[in-house]
Amino acid sequence: MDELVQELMNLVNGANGTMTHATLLAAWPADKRGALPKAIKTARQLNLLTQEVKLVDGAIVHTYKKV
Amino acid sequence: MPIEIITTVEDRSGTKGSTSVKVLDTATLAQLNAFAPLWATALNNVILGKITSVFANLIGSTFGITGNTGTVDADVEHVGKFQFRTATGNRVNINIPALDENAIAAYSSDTLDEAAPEVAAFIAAMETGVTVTGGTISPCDIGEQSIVDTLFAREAFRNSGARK
Repeated sequence: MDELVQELMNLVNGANGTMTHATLLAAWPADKRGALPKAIKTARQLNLLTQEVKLVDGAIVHTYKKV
Repeated sequence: MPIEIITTVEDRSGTKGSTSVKVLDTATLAQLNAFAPLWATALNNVILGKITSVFANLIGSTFGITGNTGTVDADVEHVGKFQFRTATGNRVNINIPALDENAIAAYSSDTLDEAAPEVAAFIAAMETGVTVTGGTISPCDIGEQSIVDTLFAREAFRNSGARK
Protein backbone atom coordinates (compact mmCIF):
# COMPACT_ATOMS: atom_id res chain seq x y z
CA MET A 1 0.00 0.00 0.00
CA ASP A 2 1.11 3.57 -0.75
CA GLU A 3 3.04 5.07 2.16
CA LEU A 4 0.78 8.12 2.38
CA VAL A 5 -2.35 6.00 2.28
CA GLN A 6 -0.89 3.90 5.09
CA GLU A 7 -0.17 7.06 7.08
CA LEU A 8 -3.73 8.25 6.47
CA MET A 9 -5.23 4.94 7.57
CA ASN A 10 -3.04 4.92 10.68
CA LEU A 11 -4.50 8.29 11.67
CA VAL A 12 -8.08 7.17 11.02
CA ASN A 13 -7.51 3.86 12.83
CA GLY A 14 -5.99 5.77 15.74
CA ALA A 15 -9.25 7.71 16.02
CA ASN A 16 -11.36 4.53 16.30
CA GLY A 17 -12.00 4.47 12.57
CA THR A 18 -13.88 7.78 12.34
CA MET A 19 -12.45 11.23 11.78
CA THR A 20 -13.64 14.61 10.55
CA HIS A 21 -11.69 16.26 7.76
CA ALA A 22 -10.75 19.17 10.02
CA THR A 23 -9.30 16.78 12.64
CA LEU A 24 -7.50 14.78 9.99
CA LEU A 25 -5.99 17.94 8.48
CA ALA A 26 -4.79 19.04 11.91
CA ALA A 27 -3.10 15.67 12.52
CA TRP A 28 -1.67 15.35 9.01
CA PRO A 29 1.97 16.46 8.53
CA ALA A 30 1.97 20.08 7.33
CA ASP A 31 4.73 19.47 4.79
CA LYS A 32 2.56 16.83 3.08
CA ARG A 33 -0.63 18.90 3.00
CA GLY A 34 -0.75 18.95 -0.80
CA ALA A 35 -0.67 15.14 -0.90
CA LEU A 36 -3.64 14.66 1.46
CA PRO A 37 -6.43 14.87 -1.18
CA LYS A 38 -4.69 12.23 -3.32
CA ALA A 39 -4.17 9.94 -0.32
CA ILE A 40 -7.86 10.24 0.57
CA LYS A 41 -8.87 9.60 -3.02
CA THR A 42 -6.66 6.52 -3.25
CA ALA A 43 -7.92 5.16 0.08
CA ARG A 44 -11.49 5.59 -1.12
CA GLN A 45 -10.73 3.91 -4.45
CA LEU A 46 -9.15 1.01 -2.55
CA ASN A 47 -12.33 0.78 -0.48
CA LEU A 48 -10.46 1.44 2.73
CA LEU A 49 -12.35 4.60 3.53
CA THR A 50 -15.79 6.11 3.02
CA GLN A 51 -16.72 9.74 3.43
CA GLU A 52 -19.92 11.48 4.43
CA VAL A 53 -21.03 15.10 4.19
CA LYS A 54 -23.99 16.28 6.24
CA LEU A 55 -25.42 19.40 7.80
CA VAL A 56 -25.40 19.49 11.60
CA ASP A 57 -26.83 22.57 13.33
CA GLY A 58 -26.26 24.68 10.23
CA ALA A 59 -22.66 23.59 9.71
CA ILE A 60 -21.16 21.11 7.23
CA VAL A 61 -19.63 18.05 8.88
CA HIS A 62 -17.30 16.09 6.61
CA THR A 63 -16.37 12.73 8.10
CA TYR A 64 -14.23 9.76 7.04
CA LYS A 65 -14.95 6.24 8.20
CA LYS A 66 -12.78 3.16 7.94
CA VAL A 67 -14.48 0.41 5.93
CA MET B 1 -40.41 24.58 -1.37
CA PRO B 2 -42.23 25.11 -4.70
CA ILE B 3 -41.00 23.52 -7.91
CA GLU B 4 -40.42 25.94 -10.77
CA ILE B 5 -40.99 24.77 -14.33
CA ILE B 6 -38.96 26.89 -16.76
CA THR B 7 -39.71 26.63 -20.46
CA THR B 8 -37.35 28.17 -23.00
CA VAL B 9 -38.66 29.26 -26.38
CA GLU B 10 -36.63 30.18 -29.46
CA ASP B 11 -37.91 32.53 -32.15
CA ARG B 12 -37.12 32.63 -35.88
CA SER B 13 -33.92 34.64 -35.31
CA GLY B 14 -32.65 32.20 -32.68
CA THR B 15 -33.30 34.61 -29.82
CA LYS B 16 -34.40 32.84 -26.67
CA GLY B 17 -37.01 33.79 -24.15
CA SER B 18 -38.33 31.88 -21.18
CA THR B 19 -41.41 31.60 -19.06
CA SER B 20 -41.90 29.91 -15.74
CA VAL B 21 -44.66 28.52 -13.61
CA LYS B 22 -44.48 27.20 -10.07
CA VAL B 23 -46.15 24.01 -8.91
CA LEU B 24 -46.56 22.53 -5.45
CA ASP B 25 -43.74 20.32 -4.16
CA THR B 26 -46.22 17.49 -3.50
CA ALA B 27 -45.56 16.45 -7.13
CA THR B 28 -43.51 13.27 -7.48
CA LEU B 29 -40.71 12.87 -10.01
CA ALA B 30 -42.93 10.58 -12.09
CA GLN B 31 -45.69 13.17 -12.05
CA LEU B 32 -43.22 15.91 -13.07
CA ASN B 33 -42.00 13.73 -15.94
CA ALA B 34 -45.59 13.39 -17.08
CA PHE B 35 -46.30 17.07 -16.52
CA ALA B 36 -43.35 18.42 -18.56
CA PRO B 37 -44.44 17.29 -22.04
CA LEU B 38 -48.06 18.06 -21.24
CA TRP B 39 -47.16 21.59 -20.15
CA ALA B 40 -44.89 22.06 -23.18
CA THR B 41 -47.71 20.97 -25.49
CA ALA B 42 -50.17 23.32 -23.82
CA LEU B 43 -47.71 26.18 -24.27
CA ASN B 44 -46.84 25.14 -27.80
CA ASN B 45 -50.49 25.42 -28.75
CA VAL B 46 -50.52 29.13 -27.98
CA ILE B 47 -47.12 30.20 -29.29
CA LEU B 48 -45.27 30.33 -32.61
CA GLY B 49 -41.74 29.78 -31.29
CA LYS B 50 -39.90 26.52 -30.84
CA ILE B 51 -39.72 25.08 -27.32
CA THR B 52 -36.09 24.13 -26.76
CA SER B 53 -36.16 23.00 -23.13
CA VAL B 54 -38.36 22.44 -20.11
CA PHE B 55 -36.61 22.47 -16.76
CA ALA B 56 -38.01 21.71 -13.34
CA ASN B 57 -36.26 23.65 -10.62
CA LEU B 58 -36.68 23.12 -6.91
CA ILE B 59 -36.42 26.51 -5.28
CA GLY B 60 -34.30 25.87 -2.20
CA SER B 61 -34.64 27.99 0.89
CA THR B 62 -31.55 29.86 2.04
CA PHE B 63 -33.18 30.65 5.37
CA GLY B 64 -30.90 29.70 8.22
CA ILE B 65 -27.61 29.64 6.29
CA THR B 66 -25.06 30.90 8.75
CA GLY B 67 -22.69 33.64 7.65
CA ASN B 68 -24.49 34.09 4.32
CA THR B 69 -23.49 37.71 3.87
CA GLY B 70 -21.87 39.44 0.92
CA THR B 71 -18.50 40.92 1.75
CA VAL B 72 -16.68 43.84 0.15
CA ASP B 73 -14.32 41.34 -1.50
CA ALA B 74 -17.11 39.28 -3.13
CA ASP B 75 -16.83 39.34 -6.92
CA VAL B 76 -18.92 37.13 -9.20
CA GLU B 77 -16.26 37.40 -11.90
CA HIS B 78 -13.85 35.56 -9.59
CA VAL B 79 -14.81 31.96 -10.19
CA GLY B 80 -14.04 28.55 -8.71
CA LYS B 81 -13.85 26.24 -11.72
CA PHE B 82 -14.32 22.52 -11.05
CA GLN B 83 -14.35 19.58 -13.41
CA PHE B 84 -15.50 16.15 -12.23
CA ARG B 85 -15.69 12.78 -13.95
CA THR B 86 -18.38 10.13 -13.77
CA ALA B 87 -17.83 6.37 -13.82
CA THR B 88 -18.62 6.34 -17.54
CA GLY B 89 -16.05 9.05 -18.24
CA ASN B 90 -18.41 11.97 -18.76
CA ARG B 91 -17.18 15.31 -17.50
CA VAL B 92 -19.28 17.47 -15.21
CA ASN B 93 -18.30 21.13 -15.03
CA ILE B 94 -19.34 23.52 -12.33
CA ASN B 95 -18.33 27.15 -11.98
CA ILE B 96 -18.92 28.88 -8.68
CA PRO B 97 -19.11 32.67 -8.74
CA ALA B 98 -17.62 34.93 -6.03
CA LEU B 99 -14.93 32.48 -4.96
CA ASP B 100 -13.31 33.02 -1.55
CA GLU B 101 -9.60 33.83 -2.01
CA ASN B 102 -8.90 31.57 0.98
CA ALA B 103 -9.83 28.56 -1.17
CA ILE B 104 -6.70 29.03 -3.27
CA ALA B 105 -3.65 26.92 -2.43
CA ALA B 106 -0.99 29.60 -2.80
CA TYR B 107 -0.78 33.27 -3.74
CA SER B 108 0.99 32.60 -7.05
CA SER B 109 -1.16 29.61 -7.99
CA ASP B 110 -4.58 29.16 -9.58
CA THR B 111 -5.00 25.73 -8.00
CA LEU B 112 -7.61 25.42 -5.27
CA ASP B 113 -6.53 23.96 -1.94
CA GLU B 114 -8.33 20.62 -2.01
CA ALA B 115 -7.07 19.87 1.49
CA ALA B 116 -8.78 22.93 2.98
CA PRO B 117 -11.86 21.81 4.94
CA GLU B 118 -14.30 24.00 2.98
CA VAL B 119 -12.98 22.93 -0.43
CA ALA B 120 -12.67 19.27 0.62
CA ALA B 121 -16.26 19.25 1.89
CA PHE B 122 -17.53 20.78 -1.37
CA ILE B 123 -15.65 18.21 -3.45
CA ALA B 124 -16.85 15.39 -1.18
CA ALA B 125 -20.43 16.63 -1.58
CA MET B 126 -19.98 16.50 -5.36
CA GLU B 127 -18.26 13.10 -5.40
CA THR B 128 -20.23 11.18 -2.79
CA GLY B 129 -23.29 13.32 -2.27
CA VAL B 130 -24.85 14.80 0.83
CA THR B 131 -26.42 12.69 3.53
CA VAL B 132 -30.01 13.65 4.34
CA THR B 133 -32.68 11.87 6.36
CA GLY B 134 -33.50 8.66 4.54
CA GLY B 135 -30.65 8.64 2.04
CA THR B 136 -27.96 10.46 0.10
CA ILE B 137 -28.45 13.09 -2.58
CA SER B 138 -25.71 12.74 -5.20
CA PRO B 139 -24.84 15.14 -8.02
CA CYS B 140 -24.73 13.41 -11.40
CA ASP B 141 -24.28 14.04 -15.11
CA ILE B 142 -27.06 14.39 -17.67
CA GLY B 143 -27.12 10.58 -18.01
CA GLU B 144 -27.70 10.22 -14.23
CA GLN B 145 -24.21 8.80 -13.69
CA SER B 146 -22.71 9.64 -10.30
CA ILE B 147 -19.48 11.58 -10.03
CA VAL B 148 -16.48 9.47 -9.00
CA ASP B 149 -13.47 11.74 -9.42
CA THR B 150 -12.24 15.34 -9.49
CA LEU B 151 -10.19 16.25 -12.55
CA PHE B 152 -9.30 19.79 -11.51
CA ALA B 153 -10.28 22.59 -9.15
CA ARG B 154 -8.90 25.99 -9.99
CA GLU B 155 -9.42 29.70 -9.87
CA ALA B 156 -10.59 31.56 -12.96
CA PHE B 157 -11.92 34.94 -13.96
CA ARG B 158 -15.01 35.27 -16.12
CA ASN B 159 -16.40 38.43 -17.62
CA SER B 160 -19.96 38.74 -16.40
CA GLY B 161 -20.65 41.67 -18.72
CA ALA B 162 -22.15 43.52 -15.79
CA ARG B 163 -19.15 44.71 -13.82
CA LYS B 164 -19.77 47.99 -11.99
